[in-house]
Amino acid sequence: MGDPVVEIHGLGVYFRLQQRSRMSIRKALLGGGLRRNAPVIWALREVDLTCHEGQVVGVIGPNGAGKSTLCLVLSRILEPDEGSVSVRGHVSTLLSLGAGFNRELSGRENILLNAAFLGIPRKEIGRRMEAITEFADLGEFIDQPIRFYSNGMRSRLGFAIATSLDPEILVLDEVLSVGDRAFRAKSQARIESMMARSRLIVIVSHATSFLRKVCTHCLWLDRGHVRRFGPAAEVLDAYEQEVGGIDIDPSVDASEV
Amino acid sequence: MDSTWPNIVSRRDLLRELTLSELRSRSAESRLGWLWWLIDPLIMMLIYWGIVVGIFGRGQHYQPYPVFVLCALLPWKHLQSALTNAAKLLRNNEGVIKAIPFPTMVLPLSNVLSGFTYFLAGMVVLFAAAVVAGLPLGLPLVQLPALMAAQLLLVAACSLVATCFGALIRDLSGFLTHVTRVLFYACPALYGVDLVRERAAKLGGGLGEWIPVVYMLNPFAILFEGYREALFYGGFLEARHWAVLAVEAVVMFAAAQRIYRYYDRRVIKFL
Repeated sequence: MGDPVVEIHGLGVYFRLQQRSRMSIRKALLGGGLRRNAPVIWALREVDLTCHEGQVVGVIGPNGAGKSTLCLVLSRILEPDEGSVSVRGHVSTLLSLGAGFNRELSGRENILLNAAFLGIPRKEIGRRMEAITEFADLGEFIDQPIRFYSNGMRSRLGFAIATSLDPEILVLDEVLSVGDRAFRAKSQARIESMMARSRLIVIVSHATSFLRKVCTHCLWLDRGHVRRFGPAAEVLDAYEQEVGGIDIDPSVDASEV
Repeated sequence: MDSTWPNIVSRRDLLRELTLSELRSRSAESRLGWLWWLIDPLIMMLIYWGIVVGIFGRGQHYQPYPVFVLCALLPWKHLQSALTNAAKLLRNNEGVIKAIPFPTMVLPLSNVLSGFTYFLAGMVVLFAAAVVAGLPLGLPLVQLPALMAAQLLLVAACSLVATCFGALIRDLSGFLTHVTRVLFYACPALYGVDLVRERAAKLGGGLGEWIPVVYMLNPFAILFEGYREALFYGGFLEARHWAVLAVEAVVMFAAAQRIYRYYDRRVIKFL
């Protein structure tokens, strides 16, 4: 086995409680705005993780365990407050679909905008435009402003753009149930083909049966700490035993992303 | 992805696409579309002309007054709209900031650039008004590119600071609206710098000498004066004013981007 693709040592990320509510002008001017001693909540603490090429790592845990924060750190959106994170390779993210869309612009114009956010070069996107519109399958809506789209249609377009990349390292956060049944089958197939081409995948999901199918390893987070990391079946068994084995199957779950 | 210059340069496609999207979406929102870019400065010019000349019976000192006042109104409008947008910028884009890694500094920069496009459209109106008024437009026009460059740096500097503090302080946008309104009257927009010198001279003594010097340290006062020299008076801005403007614009921008980069990843936790 070569160099690990992801190496995390003693990772800690905290939020100050006051960061939840921003201060006002009055507080900022009269002092007492940013209290250094405000209570701190560690979203992640003392997290160690090493991932190698070819792994598919599922991340599980209850709400507020730090799964999404881990995704933000891996994709370099948040910086660690403690410890070190090294990621070898370009990270593509699928954290929320349709973020960055401009409501007033058409689907086609939003493809250009969203692709620019993702860092896809302009020439490249010209070539992929056809494939993206075809995959999103929005018919004449593609030339209508996004504000006329339903939530499902918006997610479909977001999914089609974000997955048009060939990712090296792919970070997915609960974006596996998009659109209607027909689209869901198509999107599952695409995710699986992306997985086959990526060097490393980190995937957050509550759907343990899905993780059991695709993951090689699993990371169980609990209140910001690593509860267990190891081969997928082992960790999932332990997790299901603790939470009672209630599974959420993405193909049944009707909730949108 | 941090807001370092190499990262921003590598994402220049995003900067362009954001600026164009902003322009496209705003003209799609209104019935008249991009024609509004010309109508807006025209109305602004007519309102101030009506109030100052028509109602107060002032401004004979500066003929033609519409051209005089628009020279200051256009760059000021650029600053004002950039600032009020900037304070809400990160919060309004929270979704994409937390979903896709990109240097967030492109958000305030594209905000400044789209505002600059409206400014350029306003310059077309100003130019037309100057031609209609029969002003001698000649060699002093060569000052315009340098003035615009200074303006871009100044507006970007103010916007970058407002953008990161806007994420920390929730009511900054409303506060900035009031602050810019007050500052507007402190700048030589509706009146000329000559009036400041004249009034100060009446005070006499050291104070009379110092007030205009301090007054002209305000980069926007120099900027307005510069546009007026180029388009209204048909003269050249004094060399020392150029020097002050250049130093202030560069220093303010350098400082502002340092501040922004310090808060860059830190403010994301506040969104």
